[in-house]
Amino acid sequence: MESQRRPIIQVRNLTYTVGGERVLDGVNLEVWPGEIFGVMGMSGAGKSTLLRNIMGLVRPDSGDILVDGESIIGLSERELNRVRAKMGMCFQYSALFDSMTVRENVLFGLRKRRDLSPAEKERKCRQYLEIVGLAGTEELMPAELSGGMRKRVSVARALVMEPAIMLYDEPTAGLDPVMSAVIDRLISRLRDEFGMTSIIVTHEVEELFGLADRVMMLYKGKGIVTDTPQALRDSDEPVVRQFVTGSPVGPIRV
Amino acid sequence: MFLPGGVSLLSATGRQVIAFFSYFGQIAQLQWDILVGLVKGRLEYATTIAQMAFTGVASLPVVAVTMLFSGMVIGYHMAIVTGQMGISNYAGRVVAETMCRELGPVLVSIVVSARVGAAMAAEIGTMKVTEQIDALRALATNPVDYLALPRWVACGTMVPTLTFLGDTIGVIGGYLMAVLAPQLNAGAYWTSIPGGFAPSTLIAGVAKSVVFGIIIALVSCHQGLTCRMASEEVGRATTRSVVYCIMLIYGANLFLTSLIFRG
Repeated sequence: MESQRRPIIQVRNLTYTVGGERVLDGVNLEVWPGEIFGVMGMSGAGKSTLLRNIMGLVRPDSGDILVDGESIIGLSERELNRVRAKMGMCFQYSALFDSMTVRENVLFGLRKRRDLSPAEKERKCRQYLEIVGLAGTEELMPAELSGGMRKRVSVARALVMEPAIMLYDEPTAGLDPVMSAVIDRLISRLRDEFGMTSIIVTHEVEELFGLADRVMMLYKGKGIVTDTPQALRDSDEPVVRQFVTGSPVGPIRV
Repeated sequence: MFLPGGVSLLSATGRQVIAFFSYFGQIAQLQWDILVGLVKGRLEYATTIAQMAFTGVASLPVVAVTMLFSGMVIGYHMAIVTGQMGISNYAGRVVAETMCRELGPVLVSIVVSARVGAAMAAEIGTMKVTEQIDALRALATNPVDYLALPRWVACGTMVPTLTFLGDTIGVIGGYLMAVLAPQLNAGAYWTSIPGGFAPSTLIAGVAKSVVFGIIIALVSCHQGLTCRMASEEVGRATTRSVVYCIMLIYGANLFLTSLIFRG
């Protein structure tokens, strides 16, 4: 019950520097169970870096990240693996293991699970490929898949671990509108059917507004506004306004 | 005028020294992580067997050709030199000693560095730049356990195996020249080997190659795992892997030879 009343992800005053440049500068956010939380911002605003910090793939300079109430700062790689089991990640370029078939990719995370028989693992693989609409592609290699199919295999590979939280890094970047809609519908369906919490990082404003419950605008490493899509659409904040309208005139300088 | 140049030279030297120790520190850390993974039973057998097949079985043809021709060339030279010295009956032993002490371990290791080490660095480096290593970690898999440990075991076992086979093929190559060259007595070639050749020489050479195999795995996996996030960096990591492997094998060979073969 307590877990339902507290945010499933909390980021507190997170700073992260790479190559002398401060990519994240005091970011705060809270994501609630079952919520679809969006992070939008310019390219290079630190959106992907924020996801990588939450997943524990990089270590922040300061601040705190709590996953289901547990701080991941200072955890060893092995302890992090325990926390990562609660999260799945869909990478920007899918990051499928290119020497493995679709089936092997999806089964990868289950290979050391001794509580599942090989038949159960195969059943789960088929089940999640079916959920992402890719039944029958088991023996294809990643090179034989389209961009949208690769993204969906990436989602299936994460889903098969049955995480409570999914992190999507630019889930529809480079996809045609139809395929983008398929991915968006999949994310909504995972929330509706499985109560899955999602954090989506993208610069596709309209898509995100149609999907997310709340959205944070990340600008120069800071989360400048977090609100509902409608509130952001109506926002007078100059940076948000310029970004949402896609205007070349305003405080955002390229 | 002198001071800025001197300071610049000093700082450049300092950076190189730090880079040198930092590199070997990272290699030592990787070796430690691999040993921890090995001791804690995290070796993935299917991946290891695949790597052993790639490192050992698939390298055998090129190793065989290299060692056969090297043995033939050494046999040819020995036929002439031992003939001039009037000790042509010792040619077989000289070829066997040369092969087992030095040429076998070093040549086989260099062949494996070029063929297998380069492939390891390129494969792992590509995985790094395409975020596949991050995907491994996101799927709660330690990249050192999954990628480096099987390759370390494969190189540590297959390089000595290839060295043993390479030594044998090299000695046979020398025999073929003994048959072909009029200066050599083919029968005496074989009979000279058991006369003075100690099996410990063969074992010592193979033992050296265990170290060389470990060097190949460590250097190549390290280059792949630390590859920078750009596609041209994969090429650089691959080249660095082969160059560093060869340099370290030469250095380690000198050290091990002086340690093992003492008169």
